[in-house]
Amino acid sequence: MTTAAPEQLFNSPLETGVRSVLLLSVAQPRAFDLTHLTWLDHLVVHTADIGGPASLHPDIPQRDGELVVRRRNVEDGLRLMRRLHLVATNYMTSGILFCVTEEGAQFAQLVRSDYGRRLKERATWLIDYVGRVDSTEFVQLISDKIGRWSIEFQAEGGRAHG
Amino acid sequence: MAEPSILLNRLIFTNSTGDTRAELKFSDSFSFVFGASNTGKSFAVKSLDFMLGGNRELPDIQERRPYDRVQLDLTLKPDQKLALERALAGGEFLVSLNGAEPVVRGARHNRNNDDNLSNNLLSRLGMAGKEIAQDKSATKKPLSFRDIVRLCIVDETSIQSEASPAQTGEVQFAALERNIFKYMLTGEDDSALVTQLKPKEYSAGRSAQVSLLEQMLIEVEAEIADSFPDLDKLTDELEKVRGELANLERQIAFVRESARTKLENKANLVKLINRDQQRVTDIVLALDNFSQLKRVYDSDVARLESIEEAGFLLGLTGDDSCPVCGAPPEAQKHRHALAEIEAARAAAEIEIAKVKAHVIELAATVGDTSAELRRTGDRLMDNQKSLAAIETEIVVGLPGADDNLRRLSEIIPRRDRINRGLELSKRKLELEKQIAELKKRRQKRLPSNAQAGLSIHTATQFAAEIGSILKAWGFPGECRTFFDVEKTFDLIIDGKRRMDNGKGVRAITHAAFKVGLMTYCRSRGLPHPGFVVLDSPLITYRDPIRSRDGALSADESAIKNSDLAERMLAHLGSLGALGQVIIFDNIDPPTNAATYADIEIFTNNPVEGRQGLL
Repeated sequence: MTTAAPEQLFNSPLETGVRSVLLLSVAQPRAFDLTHLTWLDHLVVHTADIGGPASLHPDIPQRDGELVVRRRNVEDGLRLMRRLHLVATNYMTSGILFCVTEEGAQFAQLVRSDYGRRLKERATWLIDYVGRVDSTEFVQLISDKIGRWSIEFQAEGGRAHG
Repeated sequence: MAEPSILLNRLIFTNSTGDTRAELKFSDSFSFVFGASNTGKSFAVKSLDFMLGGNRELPDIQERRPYDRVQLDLTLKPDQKLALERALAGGEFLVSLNGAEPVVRGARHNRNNDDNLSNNLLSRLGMAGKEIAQDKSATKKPLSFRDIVRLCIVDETSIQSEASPAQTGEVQFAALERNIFKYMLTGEDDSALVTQLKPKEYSAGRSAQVSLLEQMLIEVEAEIADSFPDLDKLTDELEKVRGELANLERQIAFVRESARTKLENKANLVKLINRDQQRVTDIVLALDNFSQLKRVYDSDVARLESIEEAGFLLGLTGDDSCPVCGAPPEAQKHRHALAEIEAARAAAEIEIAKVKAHVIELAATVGDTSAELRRTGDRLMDNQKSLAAIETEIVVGLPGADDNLRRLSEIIPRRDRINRGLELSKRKLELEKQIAELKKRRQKRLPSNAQAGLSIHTATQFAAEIGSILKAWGFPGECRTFFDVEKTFDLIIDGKRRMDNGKGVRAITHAAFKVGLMTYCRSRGLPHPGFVVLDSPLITYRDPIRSRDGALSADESAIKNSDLAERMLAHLGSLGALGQVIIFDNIDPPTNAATYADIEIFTNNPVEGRQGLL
């Protein structure tokens, strides 16, 4: 039995990848590029920041642990999900877009854990919210409310000490 | 003789142009100046006195007209030559010492500095700074050189006078003159005597003192009458006030002491309260942190459960066809990924258990901390209540202290008033006692101070000296000589008072007196300048018909018929170092006089010898 430290579990490709599958399954049939998925990955656990439901992750000052580039986490998660055929890539004129597969949508329906259900609720709210603003407004919202670059970095990790 | 003395060397009269000059030289021992009437003998004597500080104006004789100044050369033995120059009109002296540039010296005696001739000469003779009593109360006068000169230069009037040769005959100076004479015969002045108030001054001073004290007494009595009608009770009152004051001071000290304890308690409480407040703040902060941590734990557990679920779902059919794509295991491309997922799932399962254990621990800690917060809060409340109580006590305690201070400020003036009254009462008694004593007091006279004039012993010795001189001169009779220190202050010769003789005899005995004074002092080291100038001591040899002094009395005739003149002059010529004698007279000098005297003759004849002084 392999044991892993929580740091390796939190924001691991598995956790991040599942978050992306749930987001994409809620957004179905919409597809997002890596940049938008990175933003959505941050926003779905910090919905209170943009006037949504209570944030899923505690809003606490930056905790110990190395800064991890969120974009890279999201990318690793998407790669794992592609290998499991839960996510598909479309090569479009606007670039590489990611969308959920049939298997991914079925998987999302199977998720029943407390955290998973609350995550799906917030993803539903977020995709609805994003659907109501156009792309330019979304970018403006990100830079006004959160800061264009702060999302690119993983600001919250798992529990560092107890 | 080692004693310093003065030698008169010459007398010079000049005028400002220097073309007129008259000079009279004196021998170091004995000079005899013979002069007929009106040849300037007396003028010469008066000039010597004038040049030794005399202030009497010189006679305005016809012969002095061409001159305007006098010079006296003298030797201050042993080694100084002095030239004294003075205007005939009087005033200050020009004094040249050993031929040096002359300096101005005043004629008036001042013992406090050396700018006057009198003090210069007295210093030189060792007589400076002496004090002479001038009355029975020993009021003192500084000795002046003039007092001494008077006993060395005798003019024609004085030599015949009935007054004692020691005195001028002026009553008001008698005591002073007797004491000067005593000083010369004994060398002791009166500086040691204690000056007393004269009886009249004493009683005047005493009544002034009494009236001053009585005035003070009246003021004291007035204040007592005005402000202290209760004077008799003041002593008891003072005891009472002192008792009250001591009591009050004890109370004040007690209040201060208890207030201090309360203030210390208050300070302690404030310190405790501050510490507890800080603690409460810290605990609340810690609890807040704990609740954040709890949220993190809860979130972590939820996330881990979700990971575990995802792992479970994805690994469900590891050995089977893929639940998602339906591919058989051998066709599954994501086998490697599934192993990874299974490891994560298992780890999450374990991690969930660990975090849940932390949550339990945290709950215990939060429980403890909350309990501490309650305890601290309770203590804080209690202490704040105690503080409020103490502050109230301190505020309530103050009016008592104010009351004590008010009473103190009332008692202290009362005590001061009592003290003032007692002081006045004491002062009154003292003044009354002083006044009574002062009224009773009589002036005490020191018997030693009453001794004015000469002791009998000294007077007897001095009289013996004169007796031996008279004998040497061939004075008629036994020459048993006494000195009457009480009444006449003069000689009694062979039972006859000197003053009772005829003027010729008085002149001779006066001469003997002054010469004897010099030899007495000089042979004993007593103060005397060492010269005698006599004007006409031998008047008894006058021509009774032509002389203005008229006929001779019996005693004068007896002398005139004796060889006294020759013997006297011979004796004076033999004194040598005892002193210098200068005699002016108008008798013919004895034929052999030149052997013992320098002789100068004023002929009063324009065609023969020196006509006169000038």
